[in-house]
Amino acid sequence: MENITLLVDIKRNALDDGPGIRTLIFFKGCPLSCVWCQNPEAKSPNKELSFNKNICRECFACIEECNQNAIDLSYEFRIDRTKCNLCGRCIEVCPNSALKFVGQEYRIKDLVNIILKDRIFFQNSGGGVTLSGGEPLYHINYVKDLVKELKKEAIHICIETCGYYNREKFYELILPYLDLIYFDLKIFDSELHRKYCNVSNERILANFEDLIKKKSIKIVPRIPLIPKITDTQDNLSKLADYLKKLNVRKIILLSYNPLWISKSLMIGITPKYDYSEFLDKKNKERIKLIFSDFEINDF
Amino acid sequence: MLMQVLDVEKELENFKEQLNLLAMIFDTRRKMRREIYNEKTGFYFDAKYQFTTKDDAFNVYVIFKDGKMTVADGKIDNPNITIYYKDKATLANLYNKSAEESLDYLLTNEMGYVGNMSYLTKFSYLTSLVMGAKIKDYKGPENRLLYPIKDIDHRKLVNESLNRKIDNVQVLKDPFLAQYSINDFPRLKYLKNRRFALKPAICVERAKLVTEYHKENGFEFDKSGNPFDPELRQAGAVRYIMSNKKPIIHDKHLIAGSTTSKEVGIPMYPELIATAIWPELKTIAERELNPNDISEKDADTLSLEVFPYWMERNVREYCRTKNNYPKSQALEEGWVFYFMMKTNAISHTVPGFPMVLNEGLESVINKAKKLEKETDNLEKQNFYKAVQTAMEGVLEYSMHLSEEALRLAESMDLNDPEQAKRIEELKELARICAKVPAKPADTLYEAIQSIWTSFVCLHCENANSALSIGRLDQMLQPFFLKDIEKAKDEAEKQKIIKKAIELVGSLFIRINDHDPLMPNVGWKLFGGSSSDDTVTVGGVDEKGSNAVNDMSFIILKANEMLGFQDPNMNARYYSGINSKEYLRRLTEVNLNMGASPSIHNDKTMIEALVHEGFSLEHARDWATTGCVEPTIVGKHYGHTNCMLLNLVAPLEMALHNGIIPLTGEMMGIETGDVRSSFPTFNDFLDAYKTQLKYLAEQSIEINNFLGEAHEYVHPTPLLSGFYEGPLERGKDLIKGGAIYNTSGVALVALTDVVDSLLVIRDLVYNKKEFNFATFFEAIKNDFEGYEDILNKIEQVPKFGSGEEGTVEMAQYIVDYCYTIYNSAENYRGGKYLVGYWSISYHTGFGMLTGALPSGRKKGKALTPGLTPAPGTTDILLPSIQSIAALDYLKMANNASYNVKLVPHPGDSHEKTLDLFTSYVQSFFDLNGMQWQFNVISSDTLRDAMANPMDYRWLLVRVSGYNAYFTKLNKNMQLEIIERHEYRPK
Repeated sequence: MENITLLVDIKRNALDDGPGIRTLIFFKGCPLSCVWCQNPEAKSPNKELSFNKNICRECFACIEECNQNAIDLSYEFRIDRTKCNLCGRCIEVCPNSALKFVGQEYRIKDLVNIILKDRIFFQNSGGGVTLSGGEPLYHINYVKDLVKELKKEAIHICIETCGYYNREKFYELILPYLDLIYFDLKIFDSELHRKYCNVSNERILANFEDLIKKKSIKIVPRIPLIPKITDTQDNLSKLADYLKKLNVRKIILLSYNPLWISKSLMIGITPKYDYSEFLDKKNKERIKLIFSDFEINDF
Repeated sequence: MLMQVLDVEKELENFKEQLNLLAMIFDTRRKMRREIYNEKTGFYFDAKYQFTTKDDAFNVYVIFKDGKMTVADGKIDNPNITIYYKDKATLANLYNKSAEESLDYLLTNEMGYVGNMSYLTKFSYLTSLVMGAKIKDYKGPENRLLYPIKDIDHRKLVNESLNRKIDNVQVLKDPFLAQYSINDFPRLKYLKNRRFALKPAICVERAKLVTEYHKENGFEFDKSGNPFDPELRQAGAVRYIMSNKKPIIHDKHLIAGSTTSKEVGIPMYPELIATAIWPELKTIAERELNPNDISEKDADTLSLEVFPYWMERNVREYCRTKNNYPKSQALEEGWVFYFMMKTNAISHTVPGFPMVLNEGLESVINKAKKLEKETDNLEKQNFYKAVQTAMEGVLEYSMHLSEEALRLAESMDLNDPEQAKRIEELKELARICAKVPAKPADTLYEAIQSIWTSFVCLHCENANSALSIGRLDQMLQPFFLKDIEKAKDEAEKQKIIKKAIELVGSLFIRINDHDPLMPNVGWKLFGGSSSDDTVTVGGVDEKGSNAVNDMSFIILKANEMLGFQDPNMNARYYSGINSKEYLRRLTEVNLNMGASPSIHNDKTMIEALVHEGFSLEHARDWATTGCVEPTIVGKHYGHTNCMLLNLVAPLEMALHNGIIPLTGEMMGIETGDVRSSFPTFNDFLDAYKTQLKYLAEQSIEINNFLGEAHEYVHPTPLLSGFYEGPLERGKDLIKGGAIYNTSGVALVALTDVVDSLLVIRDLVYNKKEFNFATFFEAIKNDFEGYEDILNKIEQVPKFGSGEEGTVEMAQYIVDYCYTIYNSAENYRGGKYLVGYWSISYHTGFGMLTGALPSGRKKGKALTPGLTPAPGTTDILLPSIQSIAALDYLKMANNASYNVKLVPHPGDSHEKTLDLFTSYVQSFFDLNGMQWQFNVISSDTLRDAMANPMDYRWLLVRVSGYNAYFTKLNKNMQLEIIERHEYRPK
């Protein structure tokens, strides 16, 4: 039993990732590596050190404290990651918490306790837990025990997945405990998928189709609207056709949020993709038109 | 330096010169002289004033005698009032500030007084006259329209419909009444817009009548020179007021009678607080915040005829003299410790209107007559006589209304179709007013008129401060059903339903015909409050069955369409008995209203009352009074807002060894120097408890003294006639005649105390981050230069975070407060019930409070009601859980939890309702007591600050009560904006 794992964050009172009031669990680590990833701090399965330039008071207590000489002012984002051994001493001395670990270990028991605190809100709102990330199924051995525990407590469980999972294992260990799946579909073209997400999409699409055919629980595909990558006329039309063929008529569109870029910089990764605008009205109308046959959310 | 000293001395000379000038003006100007010698009445103002400085370095006194004023250096024996200034420089600086500001300096302790406060307000007024204060630009005795009458309400009301009956609904096919909007009720729409356009005017009618009566009949002694029985005296006065009061039926209104002689008026109670307005009589029409109209003539009437009579004969001064200026009263007048409502009013209660509707007031008169004959106890006989006299006044007023309706009808033209319609209405009104409240009501219209006539009359006796209507839906439902029974078909039924909405709306418009009297300093410190005439709907009946009925929904509908501050709408929700759909509707009304109704957990309230000794059947018949407090309808005299005590003041005194930093004066107990006296956290906690206990005991003492003053100065024979108990016991309510006789306490700023204690325990004692001496310096310096300490404070988990130990600390203080108050008895032999809400006093007390260990900066508002401090947690759930975790049995006077929750603009109405309803339901499932949403976003509020004209309709919850945002002072506006805003997403 793998009863401990790294989480990026636990968000209580989450309202946009499934029905009702939910607790949202962000797992750390993902088999994909999308260039636009909205939660870049959840990509790596390892603990990371983040530095928030905006709240640093420049007292430089961290420089004195670091015995690896990893704090280097010549770096715009302060930390020489080749030297840093994640000892955490700089975090201890930072008066404004500008330095922080990304990734905290949680035992299943403790995580379940945190979740159960809000049970009454789940009950009254038809809410529950949403496993997100990163990719929750990247931690399948942990998640299998977690969902079992939560099901014992009759908690509604939703999972948000990139779809790149081992089908057999997923069906056996996880699916029986789930109530809802948010299944991400990003790019229809396999080559482009590989280009932008680091893996091709055959496995994902096959998983999706099989799941749809299985008709075991509610599955809602989610399409991130990434400017110039996923939101192209070509890609969205293909996805729409594909879903229609599968008789799927309800989808969730996720609008692009450029704030991820600063999150990426904080963990010392310079993004390869850079688009700093929010979705504009004109594009929104264009996209709505593509999905006019679908039931869509307000995005 | 030398120059400054010289300036001060020069200014002091100027001050004396100004006094001499004033003396001269009295000699030379007749208009001024009449203020100290009234030729008409033969009244001489006979008074001695001592002006001094705290260090006794400067002394001047003034004598008024035989119509002359004289000024001299030195001291005089037995002055009526000693006005002292902090020091010479302060006096030099302040003496010629405007009269309007004069009371402000009491707050900052730059000046103070010992003695009778009315002398101070009179003197301020005289000074204002010399400085040329004049009523400008006055256009007539009627209310001026401040604004054009037009639609100003920008709300977009969204209504779900529910096409099935729920709860105890008998008639309504869609209980949510989604089909109706204000546009279906042109009369209501017009009168609503008119109300928003009117400038409230000071009404001297009552003040004049009450003074006339007493001048004629005596106060201390009756005409034959015997001590005047207070009950008989008061009954005579109240009857005199009612029978001489102008009967008014305003154009287009469906309900007859008015609280004052003005369209929207401010009634005056000189036996209570009215003399506080004295300094402003000539300037109140022009003041910046909430001006009130007053005519030159009325101002003169007050200053020359009314106020002089009441300078000693008011509750505050009677209490002072009788108890030899007790320390507990000095604390009250120190502003920062506690505020005692009894100097203003004792009205926070719910009269037995159901009795009036079902039995009529003649039955009360008959009952009193019978009881009078049966007893040979003189005191009781007098009381029964008083009840009869007072009640007869109501019947006289009601007959006058009936006659007025006929007179108006006769003055109209039958051939004009519009007027012909009105003539019919007036004739119906004449019939109704001739019948109720003397006799039982038979129709909904009669019932509503009966309530209103009674209400107007009760305000002739009792000040307009939260006299509450009670369970309006329960009272009216039988009459509504009776009306419906008469319907021959569905169309008629629909007509009756529509009429019911219009009638309830008409009552609510009438309820808005009066505002409370508020001196400028009151608006500055507190304010925004209306008269808080509260209406309650829903919950369970005395047997515990579902009491949500047709009228509950009709009342909610009328309330929602009008969007008025009053009635302060309160809804009881008994989870498991009342339907979820009803809760959903309450949430919807709240979304549409912005800040109302306040939603109560019926189950916890009833249990808390039973825990305090109320019988279960009675507890189930509670209604809200004032803000959120429970009163058992017609059985319970519970002055639920007898005091607001500042829990932070004893904390400041514990930090300063008994001294209150606002004034630097020793006001508490010497508990030890915080820098060295407290080896453990518990030692400090004990010091806090010592200060708190002392202050609480003082507050109890002064409340009891003031209660006794009311027994003499302002008994309530009329109100007593509306209750079960006084007649049976032969005792006025004020003497303990009711079945239940509690006093209700509000404790302010629990969160600030708890957070401070958590910080002290964690940083000074547990982690030893710094010692108390250092921390004390930081607090004294408002944390300027101590940013490191502030940073550390920020990291300490506070109340509302849900972190370990935070709720426990709050519960510890709640338990302690409960123990103190629960062991005391009030002057009527009843218990003190404790609650946690703050009206607007968290802002007022906050202005007067220094920096706190919690990191709160000097002068900032304290936390409202029972709510975590802003910034404690980003998420709503731990906040909800922490509040709900506190033991509700120890908060029988209720608690108000303010949540600023703004719907996400992208969410559908349905989704928002789903969500909001589940928050309330969860809060109640966790045993939370009371919930109120503010749903207006900070952006909107900022816009309203910038463009007040466009937002006159905008209602916000302050703490417990609603207020129009644009009528609040700036500090309060900012406090509401700064409250933590929870936004879904």
